Formats: sequence, structure tokens, C-alpha cells
Amino acid sequence: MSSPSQSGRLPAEEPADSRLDADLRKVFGLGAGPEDWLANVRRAVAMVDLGHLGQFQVIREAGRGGQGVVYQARQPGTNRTVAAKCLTAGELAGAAVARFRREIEATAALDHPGIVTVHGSEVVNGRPVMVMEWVDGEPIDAWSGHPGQPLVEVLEVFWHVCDAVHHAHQRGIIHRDLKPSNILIIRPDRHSAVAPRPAARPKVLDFGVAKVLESAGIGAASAGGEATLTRSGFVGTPAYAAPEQLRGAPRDIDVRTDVFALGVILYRIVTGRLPFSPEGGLAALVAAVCESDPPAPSLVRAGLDRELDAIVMKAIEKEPRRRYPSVDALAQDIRRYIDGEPVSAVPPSGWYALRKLVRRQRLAFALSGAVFVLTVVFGVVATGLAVQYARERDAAQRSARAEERARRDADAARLAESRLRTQAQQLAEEAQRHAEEAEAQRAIAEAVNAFLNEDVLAAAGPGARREHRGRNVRLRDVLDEAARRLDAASAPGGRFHAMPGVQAALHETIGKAYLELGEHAPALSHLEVAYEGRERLKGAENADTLAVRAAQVTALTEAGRLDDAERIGQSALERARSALGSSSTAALAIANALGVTQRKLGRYDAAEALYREVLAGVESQPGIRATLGLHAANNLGVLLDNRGRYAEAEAHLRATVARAVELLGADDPLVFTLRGNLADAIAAQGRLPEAVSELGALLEHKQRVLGADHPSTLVTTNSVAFAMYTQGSAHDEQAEKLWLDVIPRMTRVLGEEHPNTLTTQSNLALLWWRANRLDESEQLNRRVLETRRRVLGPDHPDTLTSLNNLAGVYTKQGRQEECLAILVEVLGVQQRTLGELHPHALTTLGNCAICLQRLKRWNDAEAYSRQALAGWAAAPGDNALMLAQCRRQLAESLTALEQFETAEAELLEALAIVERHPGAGKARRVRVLRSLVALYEAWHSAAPQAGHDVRAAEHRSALASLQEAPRPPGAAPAPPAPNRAD
Amino acid sequence: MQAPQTTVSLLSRLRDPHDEAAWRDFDRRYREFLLRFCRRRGIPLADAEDVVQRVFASLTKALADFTYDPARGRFRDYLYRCARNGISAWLARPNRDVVPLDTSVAGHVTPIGAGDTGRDADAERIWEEEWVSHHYRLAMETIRRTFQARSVALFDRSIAGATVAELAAEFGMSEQAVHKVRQRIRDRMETLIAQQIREEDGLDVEPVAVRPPSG
Repeated sequence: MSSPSQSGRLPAEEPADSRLDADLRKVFGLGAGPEDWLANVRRAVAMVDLGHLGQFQVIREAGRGGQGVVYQARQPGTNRTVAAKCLTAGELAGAAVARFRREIEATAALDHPGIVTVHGSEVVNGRPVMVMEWVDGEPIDAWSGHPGQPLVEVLEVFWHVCDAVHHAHQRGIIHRDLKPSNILIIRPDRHSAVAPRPAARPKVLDFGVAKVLESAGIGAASAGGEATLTRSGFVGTPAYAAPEQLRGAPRDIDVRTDVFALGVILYRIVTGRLPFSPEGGLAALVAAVCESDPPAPSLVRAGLDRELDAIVMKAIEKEPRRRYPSVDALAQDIRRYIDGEPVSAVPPSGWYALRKLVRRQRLAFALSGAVFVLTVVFGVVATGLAVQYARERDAAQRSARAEERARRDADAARLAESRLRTQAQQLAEEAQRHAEEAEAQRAIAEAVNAFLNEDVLAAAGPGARREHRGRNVRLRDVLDEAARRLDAASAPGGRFHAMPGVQAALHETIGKAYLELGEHAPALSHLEVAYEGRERLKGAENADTLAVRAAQVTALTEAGRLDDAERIGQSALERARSALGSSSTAALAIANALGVTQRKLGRYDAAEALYREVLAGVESQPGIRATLGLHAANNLGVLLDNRGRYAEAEAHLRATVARAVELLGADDPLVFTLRGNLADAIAAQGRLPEAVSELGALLEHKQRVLGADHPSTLVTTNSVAFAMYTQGSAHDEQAEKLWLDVIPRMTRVLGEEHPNTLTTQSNLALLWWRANRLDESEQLNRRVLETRRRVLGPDHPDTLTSLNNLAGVYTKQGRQEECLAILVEVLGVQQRTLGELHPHALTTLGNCAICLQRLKRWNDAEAYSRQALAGWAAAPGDNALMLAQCRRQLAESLTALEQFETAEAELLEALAIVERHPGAGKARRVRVLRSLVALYEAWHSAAPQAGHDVRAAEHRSALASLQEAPRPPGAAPAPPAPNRAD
Repeated sequence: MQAPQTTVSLLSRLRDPHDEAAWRDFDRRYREFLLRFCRRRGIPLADAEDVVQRVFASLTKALADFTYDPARGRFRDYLYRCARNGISAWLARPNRDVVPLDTSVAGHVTPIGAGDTGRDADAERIWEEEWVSHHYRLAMETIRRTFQARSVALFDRSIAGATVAELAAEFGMSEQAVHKVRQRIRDRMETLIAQQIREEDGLDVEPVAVRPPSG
């Protein structure tokens, strides 16, 4: 015994750091009495006190999934063991409880050895609980996966499953959520002495559950909104859902939906694999189910033949009408296959495959949306705006059942017969109504679904996509219909009654969709309802509530209610900043929307600060939606352009386009917007052919993808026309044709007072002005001016543009005093609101000079021209052409003042610029040459011996060689701001 | 050196929303813990399931953004705040006038107060007890996997209340040998629990608010 450590006790088996410290040893009962820790282990492994579910004593949890939790429980009295399935359907109240009970009653009536017997339902503490036969089995895929399981036995069992499902179908009950975990196989006792060994028996579970969950507004049968809460179960179930379920077409769900699910299950149990793999995530799965053809089973597992391939592939056809018309038909083919007879399934013809290919390419675009879009499809669409059909059927069922109850009271003996008759009649009526309604409603239903799937929900940009073009259903009609249905569903007795959360979400969606269409009035009213709902539910400082505010600010801005937009935006922004932080998504979204408001109010500094704040916020937090950053970047580009910083705008927009294409793909609506604005910035710098060709390509793309009447297409149409106009009068005819075509469309689609409609009209008036169609131009300008004054206010940049353009008309009409009065007024406002170096203010200065020349107030004209010249020289950007124009005007005044030498210097400088500058165009050179001729002629009159007549002749011949007849000079109106989508 | 690899990598894996296995693992480890706590706080079974589900939903979001920083507090305290938030949200839910039918609870719900500002000694005690149980359960899982079947059987009987003398007779071994088996399991458990706690304390996340159910 050499040392205490050896004598005291054995060395520790574990290193020191594997021990708990003294405090924790105490907490875990490892320090004190020798039995304390054992007591703790005992408690830890003891059954959790599950308590009761209503009258049932819970024994243990038996399983859980997206739909809820299943408990093994004991029924008092009978002492029968049951399965109690607690559905994840929120808390039910009122009509929902009754609906739940009715659904379960209907399934309880199913009596088939292959269907799990439903004993009844309970509503425990507001939660729906389904009580059913306890089945101790294993899921069909686990069972079929046991090594050595003979194929024929698997097919026999599958046939029994089909038989059970068909039994339910004949009683009007569609399962909607067939999957392996809903088909339990009770294995025969392998050691059974009985010969032959009893066959495995399937039990199908959960008939009616999908319906119950849908009624509760939880979502589609398989992957409802609730499923997004659970990681597990989220991906698992959609693998068995039919395309019509995934696309959210509740009207299209019928027995063939179950045929599809059974086909997927058959694929799985014969190959061991799923036809559509859920591994790539939900979006990929949905795309695969809807679009791609899985490999035939025989390619996945050796030993299968082409007939079985044909059966499986026919069951999982994308289009319901290509599938087996009933589960019975599928069962018959399975039976024929087992018996070695020819099967009815035939492989799809080449023509069909071709059609599918075409269809796939068309849909590939629609499916390019982000994952969140698809998630919303599940949460919102599948729940169903198109509830009318279901509602009518529910009503029919209700009345039928009321009738039934009355009869039951009167004569119990007649009950069975009358019940059967009622049910049969009901089914017949339903089938009849379905058939009649189907055709009438199909167009609108498809449109609603297409709209929701591809248009409303893809509303990250202005790109509501129209798959239903040419079907004589207007987008606006579809939306009105959706809104009407939402109202109906929100009324007492409706599906969404007492579900304010769902209502608010749908109002928000619909409001935003109206906004995308530029339908401001309904957008504002839906958003207001959504906001009030959210505020009531979640409070004014909640992120979702404030997100609605951002949309409201945009809607108000688009509607031209700029003061309201600013007021609401400011207060929402402050609230979002203080409650959620300045860099919260809500605060940034509001800041972005408010930036547009500020820009339209002409408060460029405030707008720029807001956009830059958003960009910084997005950059600092990669978690925030990247599209928000792209929107802000776009808006900043537009702002820079508005401020006359064209080159900066171009560079910024180019970089943003590249980033957007990388993030969203080239076909995204936001990319369209960015490209349009980029082209505008290019055009503003005088590179017109480049701009026109870019815009033409963009317009063609939008017409193809969005349709000619889409607000976004309309904007681009105007941009193309304007770029043509800018190229010179040679393109006037084309430009006028485009404008005359697009203005009525805009008026119809956007309304008379919409800023875009007004800008487009203003542009047409400009063309008429240049073509000297002065009466037409004056009339249109006045109309636009009046509307703008009323809608946008007297100081709005657009209103000033109208004034300026009207002044241009006056000067051509010889009404110079009126012209000058307007211009001076405009100049004052522009200098005050836009700044002295703003291109609009500088152009107005030049216009004042022209007007003064017409009034022969040469000294005043000279002063204004010099001021304009200094301004353009100091303003940022490439202003060479404007400088040339100012020099020419200045020279004209100087000529009149007989300051010939100075005038000559200015004109030669101007000539050098217009001959050098690529964007100058012939007209500018003509004007400079003409001024030179006039100068030398005047100079020659004043000093005949100096040879100025020679120079006049030289320039006259240069002028002639340009083959342009001299025309009287005209005022150059400020360039109108072409439409920008923010 | 047993670095806290397992749990840290589990939590890292949770950042990937597509890593189903990681979430299943997390679910398996923590659901029962939370459920037991909720039940002991007097929440009826169906509602307890709901509360746990909502806590998981919020964790799903929070853990997706989690960054590893052991210096910033213990995971169990964080989880406690989440659970309390979840229970508060449940207390604040609409339809409170629904009469609880869960007879085993007899409608007894201890008010916990809003959010996690208030302290509640009772709740904290229960939380700690359930935390201890949670770790014993996890350790027990490992023991079952790694010890010989005979030792596990002996230990199961021991938990069930069999005395050392009874066990010696039952398993045909000396009392000293019985003691030795139990001691080995006890030591192993302590090691496992110490390791589990170190792994757990390597976690760091911001608390998240659990919203009351809407609609």
C-alpha cells in the first residue's frame, strides 16, 4: 500500500471529465443514497400519464403523423381496445363539430372486412377524435418489403385493398389520402397449424379523415397547411397525392384520385421504390408528380413484365381521364394479371406522349416559381377557394339527412330502405349535377386554379401569368369570382366562417392579386379587410399585420393617393422599426414601398435614403427574401434615372438584371421589369436603336408570356412607342399606331385616372405636337393635365410635365405670352421640388429662353440660355446634346443682339458636338446648320465685305445635302418620364 | 476526449430544412420530454400534443438559423423558455370557454403568466425533474443497446423493485456480482449523462415566441 490513492479506492473507470460535477450529481441522485438514482431511472422510464381522451383511458401512443396522433385506448364498460385518433384539426366549434360528426358517421356506415371499423367520434376539448377498431398490423409497404415475399401474394393483397376502396366508392366515400401507412396488413401466424396457411389480410384506415381535415380548413388531404408544421409527414404524404390534388383542383377530385394513389402504392409494393421521389423536397416532388413520367416498374426491379408496367402506369396517369375509370376496373386488371389473362391497360400512344411533352414544356414555366409558392398552394388553394361545389353538396346532404331523421322518427322499419334510397338518389343527383356543372364550371374553375397557382401566387412581380388566354375569361372576372367565393365561404355556415386567420390570408392574397392587376379600388378594400383581420388576431405590431401594411402603401401609391400612402407608410414604418427592428423584413418591405411613394412625390432624397436602407438591410441579413433586395435595387435604378443620373442608373440596373437572372431565371416578371427600366435608362442617354431593340424583344416576350392586356405588357408597349418616337419623326406612324392601340387597353384594364394611362396619353400628345397636329395635342394635353392636377396634385412631376407640354403647344400656336407664363410657373415648382440641376428644371429653362426669343426679348433669352448652359454643364451625366442645344439657342439670341463672334463660337462648338455624338441624329445637325446660315447671313448684312456670305453658302449646301427641308424651330418639351414599374 | 460531436452535428444538421433524419432524431429525443412536462403542468393530453407541436414548429424556425456559440447559455434553459411560451400561448388561445373533458386533470391548470418574464418555482422544479428523467431515458436507450442482454434484464428487474438477494437468486449469481453489474450500469449512466449534458450545453439559440393558435 504505497499511496493513499491506491489504498482508498479503485481508480475511476472513466476519465475525470466524464463525471458530473457535485451539483449535478446531486440533481441526478447520484451522490446520496444508493437507491436514489434507481428511483430516478424508474421515474424516467415509467409510462407518461396520458390520462383520458373523453371516456377512453389512454394506454399508449401508437403512432403519429401529419394528421394527428393515434393512441391505443380502452373503452370503459366494454373494456374493448380501440384506436383513438386525435386529429390535428385545430379546435372545432359549432357547425364544424357537426360536420365532423357527420363525416365520421358516414364512414362508420362502411362495413367491409378490408376496412377498419369506425366506432364513432368524440370531440374532446374542441378536438376531433376518431375512435376505431384496434388493428395490430404493419403498413403494406413494410409487409411487401419482407425478403422473399412472393409477388402473387402481394398482388392478391392489393386486390383486396382495391375491393375495399371500391366498396367505399360505391357508397359515395372517396378516401383522398391512400398511402401505405393507411393500409395495414394483419400477418398470418406463420406457425399456424392450419393448412393452407391463412392469407395476409389488409385493413384500410382513415376513410373520411381527409375530408374532415379539409372541412376544418386544414388543407389538402395529404399535405395540408398543418403539415408544414411537422417536418416529418410533410414530405411523406404528397408522394401519393394525385396531380389534381397537388394543383389544388378540389373539383377534380373523384374516384380516380384514389386510383392514382393506389397506382403509386402498387408501384411501391412491387418495386420497393416510389415512382416520384420525395428526396428533392416538396417543390421537386410536386413538379415530378405533375410533370414527369417515372420509369416503368420493370426498369426499376428485374423480373417484372410489361403488362404489370401497363397496369401501374395506367393507374398513375397525370390526367384522370387517362386512368382507370374506377378502382374496380383497376382491380379487374389485377385479377386478370394474376389469372394470366390479357389486361385492359395499354401503353399510351405516341400522339399522347407528344401532347404530354408539349404540355410539360408549357407548364415547366408555370412551375418555375419558388418553393413558398407551392407551399401556399397547399395551404390556401387546396383548401379551396372553389368551395361552391362542395358547399352545394353539403347543403344537399344536410337536407337529405334532415329528411332522413324525420323518417326515422316516423317509422324505424322504413329507415333502412329510405336511407338507401336517399343515398342512392343523392349519389345520382350528385353525379348529374356534377356532370352538368362540370362543363359550365370547368372553364372558370380551371381559370381560378390556374390563376391562383400561376398568377396570384407568383405575384412577386407584376407577372400574373395567363394560361387561360383566349378562353373568354377575363383575369379580373376570375378574381372577382374568387373574391365572391371568399365572401360566401366567410359567411355563417361557410367553410371559412369563424376562421378569421384563413380569411385574412385570402383577403391579403386576393388584394395583392388585384394590386398586381392595377385594380386599386378592390385591392385597397381587400387589403383593408386583411389588415383589420390581422390586427384583431395578431395585433398591430405583428410582422404579418405589418406586411399587409406594406402592400397597402404600394396600393395607395399606385392609386395616386400619395399623401395617404405616405401617412400610413410612415406610421407603419415607425411601428415596424420599434416593434420588430429596423432590419426586420416587415420594416424593410414597408421602407421599400414608402420609397416609391416618396419618389412619386418627387422627394428623391428621402426615397433614395429608404432604398439604400433596404439594400443595406437585405445585405446584412441573408435570410431575408432576396427578391425584396432586387425590388429595392430596381427602384433605386428608376430613381437614379428620374434624377437624371442616367449612366449611374444604367450601370446599377445592369448589375441588378444579372443578379436577378441568376436568382430567379430569365423568365421572371421582375427580370422583365428590370430590363424595361434598363432600356429606358439606355434610351435616356440617347442610345436609341439599342433601347428600341431591347424593348422590342421584351415586348414580344411579355405578349407571349403574359398576354397583350397584361398591365406589365401595356407598360412595355408604351416604352417601345416612346423609344420609337425618340428616334425621330420617321417612326411617328409606328409609334402613333402603338399608342392608339394601347391607350384604350390601358383605359379598360387600368382605368382612366391611372398614372400609366395618363403618361401614355401624354406621350401621344407629344407626338402630335411634334407632327404639328396642335389642336389634337392641346386637347389631349389639357385633359391629361386636368386629371393629373386632380389625382396627383399641382406640384406632382407628372402634372408639371403636362403643363410644360401644353406650353410647347402654345408656343407653336404663337400664343407666346401664355406659354411663358406657364413655363415660369413650372420652373419655379421644379426648382423647388426637384432642384435646380434636375433635367426637367434645366429643360424648362431652355424652353423659357425659346419663348423669350419668340417674344423678341433677346436679352432675357440670352440670360436664360446662359443659366441653362451652366446648369447642364454642372449636372451629372452625359449632357453633351443638351449643351449643344443650349449653345445653339444662346447663339440665336446673340445673333439677334449682333454679337456675331460670340454666336459663331457657340454654334461651331454645338456643330462639333452634334457631328461627333452618336445619339445626335440628323434633326439636331439640321438645326445647328440652319442657325449657322442665319448667323452668317445676318453677319454679312452687318459687315458685307468680310466674306460671311461665302460661309453662309457653304453651310447652306451642307444643309441641302442633309436633304431635310428647313422647318420652323419648336420648343422642346421636357422628356416625359416613361412608365416605370416599381 | 469526447467532444460534443453528436449533438452539435445534429443541431448543425437541423439548419438544413431538408434533413429529415436530423429532425426525426431531434423529435425522438425531445418530444417525450416536452410532452411530459406539459402533462405535469396540467395540460390535457390533446392540448399538450398541440403545445409540443407548436414548440417544435417554432424550434424548426429558430434552429434553422442557429449558430454555435457555447458561451451563450444552456440549451435546457432556452428550451424551458420555449416550452413556457408555448404554454402561455395555449393559455391565451381563443375558445377558452370550452370545458376541459380530460377527467384526469380535473381542469386544474396552474397559470404561468405571460411570456417567460415571470418565475414559477413549481414549474422550474418540474422542468428540472423532467430534464433529469429525459437524460436518464436517453442514457437508458444507450445502455439497452450496448450492454449484454442479461445485464439489461437484470437491471430492468432491479428498476421494477427486485432486491439484490432476489436478483442473485433469479440470475444465479452472487450478490456481489449483482452489485457489480448495477455499479457498472450506474457508472456508465453517469458518463453518458455527463456527455449528453455537455453536448446539450454546446447549443445556443435565441428564444422564439410561440404564437397562439389562430382561427
